Amino acid sequence: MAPEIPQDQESPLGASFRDPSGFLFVSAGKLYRQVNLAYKENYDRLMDTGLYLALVNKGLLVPHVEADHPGLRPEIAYKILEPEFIRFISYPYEWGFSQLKDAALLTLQIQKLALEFGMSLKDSSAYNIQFHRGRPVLIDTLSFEIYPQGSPWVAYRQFCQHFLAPLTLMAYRDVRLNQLFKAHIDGLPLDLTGKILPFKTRFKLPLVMHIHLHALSQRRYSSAALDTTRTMSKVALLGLLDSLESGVKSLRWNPKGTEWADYYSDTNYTAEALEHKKLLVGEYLDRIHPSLAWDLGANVGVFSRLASERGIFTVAFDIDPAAVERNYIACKNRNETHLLPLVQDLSNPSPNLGWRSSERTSLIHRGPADAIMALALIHHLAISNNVPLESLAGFFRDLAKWLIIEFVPKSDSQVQRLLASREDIFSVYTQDNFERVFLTCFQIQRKSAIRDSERWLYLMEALPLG
Amino acid sequence: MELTSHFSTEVYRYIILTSSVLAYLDPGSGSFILQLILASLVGSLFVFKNFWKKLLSFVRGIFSRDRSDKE
Repeated sequence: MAPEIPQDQESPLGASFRDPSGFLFVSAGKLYRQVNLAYKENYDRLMDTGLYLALVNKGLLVPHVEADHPGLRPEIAYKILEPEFIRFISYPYEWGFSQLKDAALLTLQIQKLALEFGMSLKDSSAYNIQFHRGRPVLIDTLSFEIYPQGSPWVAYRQFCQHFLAPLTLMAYRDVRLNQLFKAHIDGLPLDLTGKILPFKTRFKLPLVMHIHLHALSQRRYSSAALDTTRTMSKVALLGLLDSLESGVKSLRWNPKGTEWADYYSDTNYTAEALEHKKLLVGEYLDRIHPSLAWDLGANVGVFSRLASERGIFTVAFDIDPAAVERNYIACKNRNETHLLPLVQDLSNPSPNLGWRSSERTSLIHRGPADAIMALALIHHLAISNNVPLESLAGFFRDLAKWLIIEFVPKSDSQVQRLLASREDIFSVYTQDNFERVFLTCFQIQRKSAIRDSERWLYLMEALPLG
Repeated sequence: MELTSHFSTEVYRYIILTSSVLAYLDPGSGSFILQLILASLVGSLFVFKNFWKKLLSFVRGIFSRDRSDKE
């Protein structure tokens, strides 16, 4: 399966329409970026001054090669770039706190470096940052413009809305508030942010300036004409960046106390069962050799690492931001390049969003993966969320060719916990019925009882559609 | 002396101002104006912070030189 790049399209990709500098398109299964003639001067400056090399050498910008391709709109094309391939595109509403914070600090670092070369970021969208080889990188090569001496930072509003506002809400109110990104595609409105934040944030200089006063200024001057004769020195601009950086660095969130982040210290697995499960998952992975795996309900990534340490690029999804945070911190500390932890609520997966519902792609449309790992997951979807087994089988078949799935029977103490406070209406939730239903979508290739537990592990291969 | 002169230069550069441009994204009038309002404050803080850092490293340099001279 070749999952990550969309089909060839006769038009620019959905998110690539705002900037007249260029756009992304797909041709012959490859992703390209057309640089338009309108951006020629800026592109040449980026490449000729050494800024591009400096950014790439520091791992801040995704590298590209200039491709021998006529472009999707040759009449306005200056160059066609083939950027290094990003394995999985993720969005800020799927990131943990530190992922968003690292993306914010990266954006400021890039802006400071750009200014040294006489250029400046003309946008600072969080969607322009992606996680590549375990680190955040800027993916929009066309984000730079020649620094107009004396100009305030045109991307200041966007930086505050895309980074500072959500991070402050996550740090001071609730880490789940980055979900507001789904309702506000261009970042969190500062007036809304100000209303939600606690009063004490008015006593933190960067926060009072860049959020509270900023919201006030937006309200007061919303229809004011810009006086373009008034300017801002480069030192003041550097001061602004320094102040934003201090604000971002001062924000902290400590992942603790959630149900799932402490899962492995509060589980019904014996040590033998856990080790046997790891052994079986490893064996299944060795048998199918996927290149891209999605671990659904990955928690802190114990089983995801069985895949990523085999060189399989693995996206570790979990509903709990604390588990994702711990997983990401571990990835950073270990310099892991094949693992990407993300927040995802499988009962309500990320939808298509934005203009014509095509700027941000749904989770399902970012698939299929080669393999899905659904370990200790099915009982949560089937029992906590009342999803019928037929629907679960169809869901997994849509996501990947291979499925490694653990069946947790009703007698298991974890399932009993789920049933403790509700009526048991799940008479069909049996292992026999699970197999019967999943056989309508999959072939069972392997099936093993996990030692010292009541659970079973399956390796399934999707049946051809139709 | 060098530090004082650096400080004056930064303050001078901070006063020298030129023109502005239009962006493909709306920078927002309020966001634009706020930056102009904050410019003096954040610029001064930045210059002072850098001045302070240099002063500290200058003082540290003197003491470490004294120590190595004694050794």
